[in-house]
Amino acid sequence: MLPIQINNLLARDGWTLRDNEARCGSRCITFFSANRATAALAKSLRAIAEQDAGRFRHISVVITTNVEQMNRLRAGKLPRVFFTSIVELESPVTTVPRVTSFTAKIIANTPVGPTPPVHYRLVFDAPELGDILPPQFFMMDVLPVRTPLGSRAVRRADWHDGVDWSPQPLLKRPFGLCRVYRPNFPVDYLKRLALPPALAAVLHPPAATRFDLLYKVLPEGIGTPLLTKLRRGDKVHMVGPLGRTFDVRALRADGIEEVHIIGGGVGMAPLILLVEELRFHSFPVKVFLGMATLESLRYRDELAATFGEKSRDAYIYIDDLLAAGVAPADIFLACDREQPRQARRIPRENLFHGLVPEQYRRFLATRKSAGKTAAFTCGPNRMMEVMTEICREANILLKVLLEKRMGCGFGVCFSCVQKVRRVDGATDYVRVCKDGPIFDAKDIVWKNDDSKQPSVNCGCAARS
Amino acid sequence: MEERRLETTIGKLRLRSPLLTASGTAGSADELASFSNAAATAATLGAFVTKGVTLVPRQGNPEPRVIETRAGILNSIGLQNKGADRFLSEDLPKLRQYGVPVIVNISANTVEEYAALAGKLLTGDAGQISGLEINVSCPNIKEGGVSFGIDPRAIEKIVTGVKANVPRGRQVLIITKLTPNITDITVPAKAAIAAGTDALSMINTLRGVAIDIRAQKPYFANVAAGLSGPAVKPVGLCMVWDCFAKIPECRNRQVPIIGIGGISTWQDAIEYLLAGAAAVQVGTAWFVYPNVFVEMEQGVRKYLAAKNTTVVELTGKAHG
Repeated sequence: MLPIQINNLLARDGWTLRDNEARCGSRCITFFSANRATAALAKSLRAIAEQDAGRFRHISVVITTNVEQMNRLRAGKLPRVFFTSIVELESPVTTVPRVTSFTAKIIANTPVGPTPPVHYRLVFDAPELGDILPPQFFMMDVLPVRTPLGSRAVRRADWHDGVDWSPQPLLKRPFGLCRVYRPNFPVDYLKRLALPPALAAVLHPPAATRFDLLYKVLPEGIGTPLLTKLRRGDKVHMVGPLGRTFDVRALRADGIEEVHIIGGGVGMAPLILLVEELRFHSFPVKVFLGMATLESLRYRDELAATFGEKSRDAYIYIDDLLAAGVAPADIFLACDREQPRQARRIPRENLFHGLVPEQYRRFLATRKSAGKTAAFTCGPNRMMEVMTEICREANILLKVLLEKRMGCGFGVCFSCVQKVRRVDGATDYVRVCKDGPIFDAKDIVWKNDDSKQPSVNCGCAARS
Repeated sequence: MEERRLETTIGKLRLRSPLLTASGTAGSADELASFSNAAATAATLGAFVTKGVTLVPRQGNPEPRVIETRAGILNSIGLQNKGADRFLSEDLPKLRQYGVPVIVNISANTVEEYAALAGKLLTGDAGQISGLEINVSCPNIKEGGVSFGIDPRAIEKIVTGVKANVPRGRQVLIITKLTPNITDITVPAKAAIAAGTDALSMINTLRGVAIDIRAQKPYFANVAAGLSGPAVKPVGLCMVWDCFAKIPECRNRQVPIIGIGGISTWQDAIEYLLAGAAAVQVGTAWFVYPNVFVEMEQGVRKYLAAKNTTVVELTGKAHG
């Protein structure tokens, strides 16, 4: 076993991480600390690290005296370091990021899949969202700041054929994030990282600055068709991060050994961020992805490079999952419109022609190990309802990530409500934005919940 | 002078700013607290008007509850709230932390219930409530609501009942919130004044309908919902104007008007003040832009300085 070297450097020594890394060889832990008194704490951190020293490559950690200082440093431009604070070393804390309103800059807004495009991927810069934690979301205008009136016209499909010259959407739309990019971190850093859980619980990667979201265009709506018109350089007003965070450390405390993620269509997008979080905490993750066709996941050739994908055969979601360190054998794909053929490195037996809950049901029937499992799902209501039933039978704790049309996103308008069953058997309406967006599937009253989807006034029924 | 330009008075309640939250759109303490600009926002408020509180908890209406319209939204929430008891124990103490006067919006199904609710709130609040806003105009509940708002006799009874249940010696501002779903808003306004209301607030939402052409059915379970947002601003402005112009008590500031309806920018707020409002409430704009109060206050402050005037002087100035 190689010795773990710990350097407790002061901030004034400069952030000479790269030199230090070279000096220490490939496996070392470097502590930067702004306070000499943390030397003792470094010792206890080393003890944590030593439990699993064999799995380390290189980790650098900056220990700060308090959380505020840590957040300041996290937003800085330090190369490849993780952060923690003294408070957290003593006991893990969760700070919920405060909500702000800000203007984000669009980097790319590109269609995915075959023509005519249904799915778009929007990339934007917004350091204000840096602390967002899954499954939080944010509200976003569908028009750039100060749009001239003329460009607001929107052509609408189906029964609403013709141009509407005065859509002027008043409300923002809720969106979940699909992917976050951290400065100085490779997009696939999780692939090479296997943190011991105890260490993961107190470490933070640097704050993200660039984000990805995936949205589906609802041609009859106003919101999403307008969204497709955003261009690189446009500035868009946003509010976030919103919603309650979900502490994956609680899963560890509950003795969960394996996590299953089941995403239906665009519902997979916000779950990717959760996968990243679970991978960071070294949970074994199996992902079940349901789509209409495999082709609808495929990047257009000319766009693949935009996202740093080298392969011409790049698929949305699948590449995100591989980058998050999910093994190809742990990715399952169900397509209901066609038999999926070869998809990157996913084993053939993981491809399924049919609906994703059915694939999941079959997987559960044949799986050998049955450690305590938790599952997360997001997708069409009907799918989540079936998933609830499957997980109830298999005795798996299922959490659902709900998507609703929202007015405000921060809990004041009471429009994004979900009917839930209370402990005493009575039902209640809870707000998806403020009390969610994650709920225990067993509490949800799915009946009567196929609420009428608007065809006229609202462009964005779903979160993504 | 500089600091006091924004001051205004509603009845006996002195407000440091004419900007108030509008009931039903500002939630309660928890929602405000989640914002990084919570303290800055609270500092710009003259008072915090809560979401409608009822005697017993209400579940609210089934989905859908909000539909976006052109320059506005239609809502049919149905007064979902946790009831007076939990409001007093959970929300009120948190709201008071911001140091802003709290005005509680109250709603009920019967005349007697209004009085009982007022009594309950004012005896159980340990002196924390600065005012009650009587909602006689909610379009989204089956009984009461708008039907009270268009019946001057009902309004008189409700206001009288609420006033009678104010504990002896308590200084509480009684505001009556009026509906615009009426031909002449001065009729219910005069009724409320006759019953002794301290102030009027107007307007609540306008009744509106949206129909799903795919299902060929109305969107909302209650068919009609309430329209708010920039679309209703001219309507609200007109009603404030009418009351100020036609009712002597309003004109001589005995019964001040709180203007509500589509206020989204500081210019909108100034318009309402000029039309006769002594203060304004901002609602739907806050859904869209959580920084609205901070920016609106700066705008109003700048305007007042440029015109070298005050909110009090501005009230009703457009009437000449």
